[in-house]
Amino acid sequence: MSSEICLQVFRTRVGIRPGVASLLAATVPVLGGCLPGPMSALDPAGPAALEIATLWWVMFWASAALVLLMTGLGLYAACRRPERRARVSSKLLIFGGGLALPSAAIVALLIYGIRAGHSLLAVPLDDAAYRVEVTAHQWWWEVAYPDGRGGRLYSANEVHVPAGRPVDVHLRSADVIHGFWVPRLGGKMDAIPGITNVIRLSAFEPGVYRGQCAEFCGAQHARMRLTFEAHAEEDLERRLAALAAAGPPAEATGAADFQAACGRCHAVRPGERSLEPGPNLADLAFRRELGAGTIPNEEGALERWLVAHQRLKPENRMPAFDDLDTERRASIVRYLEGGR
Amino acid sequence: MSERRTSGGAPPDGRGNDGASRTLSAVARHRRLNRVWHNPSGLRGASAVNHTVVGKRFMATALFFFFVGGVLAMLIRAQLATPDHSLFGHELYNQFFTMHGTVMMFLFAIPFIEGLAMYLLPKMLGSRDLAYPRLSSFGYWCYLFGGLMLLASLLAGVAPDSGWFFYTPLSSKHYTPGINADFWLLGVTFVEISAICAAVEFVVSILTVRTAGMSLSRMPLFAWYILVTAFMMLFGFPPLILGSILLELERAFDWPFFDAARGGDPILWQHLFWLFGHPEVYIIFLPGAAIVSTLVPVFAGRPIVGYTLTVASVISIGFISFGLWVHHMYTVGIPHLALVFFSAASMLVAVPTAVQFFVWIATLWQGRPRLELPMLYLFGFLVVFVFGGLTGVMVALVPFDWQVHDTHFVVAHMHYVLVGGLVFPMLAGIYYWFPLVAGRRTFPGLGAIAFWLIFIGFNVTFLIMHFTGLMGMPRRIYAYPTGLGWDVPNLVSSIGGFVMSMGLLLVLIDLVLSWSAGRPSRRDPWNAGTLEWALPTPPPFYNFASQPAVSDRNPLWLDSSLPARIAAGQGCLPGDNAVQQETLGVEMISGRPNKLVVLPRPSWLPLWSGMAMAGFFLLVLAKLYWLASIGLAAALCVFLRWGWENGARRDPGDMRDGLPPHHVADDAPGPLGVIFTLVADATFFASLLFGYAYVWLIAPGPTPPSLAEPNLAALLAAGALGAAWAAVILGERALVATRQVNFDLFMLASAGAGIGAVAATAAAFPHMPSPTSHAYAAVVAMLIAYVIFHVVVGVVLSAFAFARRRSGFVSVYRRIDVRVCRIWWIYTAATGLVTLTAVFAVPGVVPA
Amino acid sequence: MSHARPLRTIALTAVGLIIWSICFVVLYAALSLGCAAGLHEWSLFGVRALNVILGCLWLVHFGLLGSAFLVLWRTQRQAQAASERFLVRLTCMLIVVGSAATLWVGFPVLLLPACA
Repeated sequence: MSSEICLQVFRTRVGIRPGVASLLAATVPVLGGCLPGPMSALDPAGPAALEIATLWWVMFWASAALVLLMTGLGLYAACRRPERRARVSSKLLIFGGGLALPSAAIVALLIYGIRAGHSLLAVPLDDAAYRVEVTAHQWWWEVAYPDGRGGRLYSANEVHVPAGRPVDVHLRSADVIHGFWVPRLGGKMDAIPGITNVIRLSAFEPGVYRGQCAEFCGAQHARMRLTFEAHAEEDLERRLAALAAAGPPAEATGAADFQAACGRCHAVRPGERSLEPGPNLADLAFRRELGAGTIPNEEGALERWLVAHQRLKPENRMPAFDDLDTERRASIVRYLEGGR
Repeated sequence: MSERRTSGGAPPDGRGNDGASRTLSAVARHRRLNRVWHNPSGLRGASAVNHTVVGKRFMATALFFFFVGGVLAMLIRAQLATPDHSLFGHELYNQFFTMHGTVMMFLFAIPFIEGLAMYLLPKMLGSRDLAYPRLSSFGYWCYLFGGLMLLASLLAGVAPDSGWFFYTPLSSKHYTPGINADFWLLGVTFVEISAICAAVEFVVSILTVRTAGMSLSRMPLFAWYILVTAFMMLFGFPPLILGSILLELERAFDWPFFDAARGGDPILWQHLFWLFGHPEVYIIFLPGAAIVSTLVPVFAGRPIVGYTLTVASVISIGFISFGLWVHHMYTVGIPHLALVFFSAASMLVAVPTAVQFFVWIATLWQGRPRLELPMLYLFGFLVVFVFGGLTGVMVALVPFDWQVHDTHFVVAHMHYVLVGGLVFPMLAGIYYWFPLVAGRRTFPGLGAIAFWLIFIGFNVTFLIMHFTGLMGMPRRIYAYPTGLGWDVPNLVSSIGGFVMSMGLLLVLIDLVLSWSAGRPSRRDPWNAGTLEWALPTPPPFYNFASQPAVSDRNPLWLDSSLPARIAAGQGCLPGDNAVQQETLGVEMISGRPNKLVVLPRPSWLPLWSGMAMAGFFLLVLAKLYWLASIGLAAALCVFLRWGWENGARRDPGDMRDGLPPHHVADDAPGPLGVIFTLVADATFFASLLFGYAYVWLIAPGPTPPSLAEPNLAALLAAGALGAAWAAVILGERALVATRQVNFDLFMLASAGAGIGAVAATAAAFPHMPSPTSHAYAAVVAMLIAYVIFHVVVGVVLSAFAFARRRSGFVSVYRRIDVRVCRIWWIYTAATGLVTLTAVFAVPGVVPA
Repeated sequence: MSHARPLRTIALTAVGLIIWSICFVVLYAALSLGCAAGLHEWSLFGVRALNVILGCLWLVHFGLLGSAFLVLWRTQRQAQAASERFLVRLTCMLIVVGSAATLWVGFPVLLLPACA
C-alpha cells in the first residue's frame, strides 16, 4: 500500500515543484518504491517528512554517482598501465575534482537546505496551528490538550490531532532530555528541562503514526513509544469529547482500592494533572497500548501489566506492587476499565 | 655557529668527514651508541623512556583496547540481531554501548595515533628521540592507569551507562546515582591528560627537534598532519576536561552547572562536549590521512603532487573542524540561522577533504603505481571514507538531520567515517611499517584475505544500516519490536559485523605469527623516500648513528647511499665518542641546527608521577577528598623532583660541534612546552568564561542572584597579581644584569605577592552565596578556584626558581627555570585580571 | 618575514583562518546574545536590526582579511630562503581559504531572520 501512496504523494508534488519531483517520480519506481514501514522516514505521510524524503533521494543518487566516480578514478589511476593512461593535468584533477565539484555541490545543497529548513520551522507561532502540549517523562509521554476554557485535558502516550492541518507540539521535559519523533510525519525535536521547544508536524491523511523517543534517556529508552493519530476534524472532536468525559465514576466499586494503591501518582479525572510521576489514567481504557507502547491494550492486558510490569518494562517508575492481592488487583482493573 | 655546517645538502662535517682515522667502524659506533642509549627490558623496562619503546607500548595497549571495543561491538550486534532479543537486559546493554564508544574513542583511536606518531616522528624527522621522552612515558602511564580504571568498571559490572556523550541531566547524580558515571568522568579525564602531554610533545618536537636542513618545507607530510592534529588536541580536549570537571563537581558537591532549576543548563554540557567531540573526529581522521599521504607517493613511485596545497588543506580542516560542533545539536531548539552557520561550516570542510582525495588520485595518476598489500587497504579507505564523507554532507544539512539524527543512519555514517578514516589507513600503515618495527615481512596472502573479510564485512554491516535508520530505528535501544521492518537489516548487520571481526582477527594472527616467524625484511622493502627507512630494521634505540643533513623531502630517493653514509658516521653528531644522549635541535623554520638537545636516561619518575596521579583519581572516585589532596601533593613533589633533575650547575665550556646544549639555548624545548601547555590551559579558561557568560546571559531558569560588587579587596587582588607579574620580569632582568641577590629578592617578592593575591581574592567575596544555590555562583566559584590554583602553582614556581638559583642551577646563561616561572606568572596574572574584571566589573556595565 | 620570532611567523601562517574563526565566534555569540536580549524584535528602517548588526560584524572581517593580505604582500619580498617562500605561499593560500570561508558561513545572515 505504502509505495502507491508514496508515488501518489510524489505526483501531487509534481504540481508544486516540477523539476525535482518529476525526477523523483522517475526514480521511485526504479528503487521499488518507498521503503514502507510504520516508522519509515521514507514512507512519508506528511509534508515535512516528504520534503526530507525527497531531499534524501536526490542526495542518495548524487552520492551514489560520486562514490562511483571517485572509486572509478582511484582504480583507473592505480590500475591502468601508465603508458595507456589518459593524460590529464594534476591541476585539472585537483582544482576541478577537489575544488570546483564539491563547491558547486555544497552551494546548491546549502541554499536548498536553508529554504527547506526554514519552511519546516514552527514560525510564525500563531493560532492557525492546532496546539498540543507534550511533556516527556522517564519513560512515557504526558499529553495535554487545551480544553478551550483555560484548562487542559490530560492523557498519555497518544496524541490526537487533526489531519491536513499544521499541529504545533509544545515540548517540555519533566526530567532528562528526550527526543520527540514521529518519522513518517517529519523530523525530531528534543524535550529539554528548562525550556519549551515547538515542532510543527502535519499529516496528509487521517491515520495512526508511530513515534518513539530518539534521545537516549536511560533504562527504558527503548520502550518510550507513542502513537500520533490524525483524525478528520469531526472525529477528533468526538475523540476529545470522549476524553473529556472519560474516567471512572468516583463512586464506582474499586475506587477506594485504586485510591489507596495508585492514587498518589495517577489522576483519573481528565482535567486533573497527575501528581508526579504517573500518567493520567482517565482514558486508559481507550488507549491502544499500555506502558508507552510496551504491550497492546487488549483483553486482559491491564491485569497482565499490573502483575508483570517490572518484567515487561524493567525499572519503570511504578513500584512492583507485589503485595497487591488478586482480588484488589481485579477490582482496580474493573475500576479503570469502567472508564469507558 | 658556522654557516658552512648547515648550508644546503652538503653533509655537515661534524667529526664524520675530517680525520677518517679517528672514526669508528659502523659496528663499533653502534655498540657505543647503544651503550649510551640503552633502555632496560623486563621489569626494569617500566623506567624506559625511549620513544621507540613507549611508542610501541602505546600502540600495543591501544590494539588491546581495540580488541575490547570490538568484543563489545559484537555483543551489541548479537543483542540486536533479532527483535526483542534478550541476551542482555538494559543494564548491561547500556554499559556495552557506552563503553564501546568510550573505549574506541579514548582508549583505542587517540592512543594508537599517539603511539604511531611517537614511534615514527623522530625517525621521519631524522632525530634520535622526541623533545620530552619522560613526558611521553608519563603520558603512557596516565593512559594505561586511566584505561585500566575504565576496564575495571566494566569487569565489575559498574561501567558507565549514560552513553559515551554523557548528556546531563541523565548523567547527573539524581538520574545516575551510582559510581558508574564517576568512572567515566574521572577515567576519561585521566586519559586526556595523556593526550595533552602527547600534543605538547609533538608540537615542540616537530618544531624544534629535527635533523639538519629539514626546513618546514622539507618535512614529511606525516609530520605536518601530526603537527596540525597536535594543535587540534591542544584546543579540542580542554573543553571536555572542563565539562568533566564541572559535571563531577555537580555530582559530588551539588554545584548546579547543568541543573535548569537552579540557573544551569544541560545544553551547556552539550556545547562543551561537542566543542571537543567534533574536532575529535578530525583528530582521528587527520592521522589516518597522514598515513595515506605517506603511503600513496611510495606506491606511486613519485613525490606527492601539491605538497603546499596538501599542507594548506590540512590546516584548513584543522580550523574549520572547530566550527562544526553544533551540528550534533540541530534538534535542541537553537535558532535556525545559528544552525545554518554550522551547517555551512560542516559542508565547507568537505572541500579541503576533497582536495586531499584528488591530490592522492593525481599522485597515482602521474606515477607508476605498484599494487602491494598496503595499497589494497588504501583502496578500502578510499571507498569507505568517500561514502562516509558524503553522508557527512547529508547530515550537515539541517532538515535532513532532523530526520536521521539519533538514528542508526548516523551510526552507519559515523562508522564509515571513523573506520574509513582511521581503521583502514591504520591497517595499511601497520602492514607498511611492520617490516620496520619488527624487522620481518608479514605472510603473503593472509593480509589480503583479511582485507576482503574486513571490507565486505564492514560494508555488509553498515551500508544497510543507513536504511535501518531511515526506517526509523533510533540509536541506543536494547530491544525493538518486530513488524517495523527492522528485523532483516539488523540480522544482516550482525552477520556482517561478525565477518568483519573474523577479518580483524586474521590480521591479528598474521601479525603475531609474522612477528615471530616472518621472513626477515631487508632495509626499506618498499623503496620509500623518507628517513625512517634509512634505519636498520628493527631500529636501534638511538635511531641514527649520525644525523643526516637533508636537502629534499624524500632524502632516500635523492641519495640511495644515505643509509650507508649514516651508519658510517658521515652525518651530524656521529656517536663516536658519545657520552650522553644527544640530538640536534633546529631553528623552527629553516631547520638550521642551533642547539644540542640532551635527552634523559631511563627514569622512574614518570611511573611514580603516573601512580601518584592514579592515586589521586582513585581517591576522588572513592570520595576520599582529603586523602586525594595528598595524592595530588605527592604528584607535585614528584614533578618538582623531576624539574630539579634538569639542567646543569655549570655554564657550558666548549660547545660540542659549536652547538650550545639546549638548557642555554634561546628556544629551549622546556619553556616552549610550557607555552603550548598554557595554550591548552587558555582554551580551558576560555571555555570556562564561555560557561560563565552562558549561565549568566543565556541559560533559562531563575536569574542569577546579584553576586559580586566591586570592592577594595578585589582591587587589591588585582594589584597583587600585577605586582607578581612585575616582580618576575624585574627578577629576570636582575639575573641578566648579574645582580643575583636582587633576583632572589624579586622571586621571593613574586611569591609573596601571590600569597597576597590569594588572601585578597578570598576577602573579595564577603557574602559569597553558596555555590550550590545557583549555577552562576558555582561558575564564579570555579573561576576563582581556577585563579587561586594558578597563583599557588606560581608561588611554588617562584620558590623553585629561588631554590634553583641558590643551588647553582640558574645563571645568566641557564635561565630555563626563570623563564618558565615568568611565562607562568604572566599567564596567571593575565587570566586573573580577566577573571576579576569579568566577575566584578562587567556585570555592572551590562544591562541586566 | 622576521626570523626573530619564528613561532609568531608560523602562527601567522594561518592568519586567514584565524580571522575566519573570530568571525565565526563573533557571529554566533552576537546572534545568541542578541536573541537572548530580544534585539530581533527591533527593526531599523524596515530591516531587522539584529540582521543588520550581524551583517556589519560580518563585513568587518573582510576588512581584516584585506589588511592581512596587504601586510603579507609588503613583507613577501623579504622572503628569500625556500622555507620562507613556502610559508609565504602557505599564508597566501590560507588567506584565500579564510576569505572564502568567511563569505560562505556569513551569507545566510542576509537570508534568514535572526532568531526564528
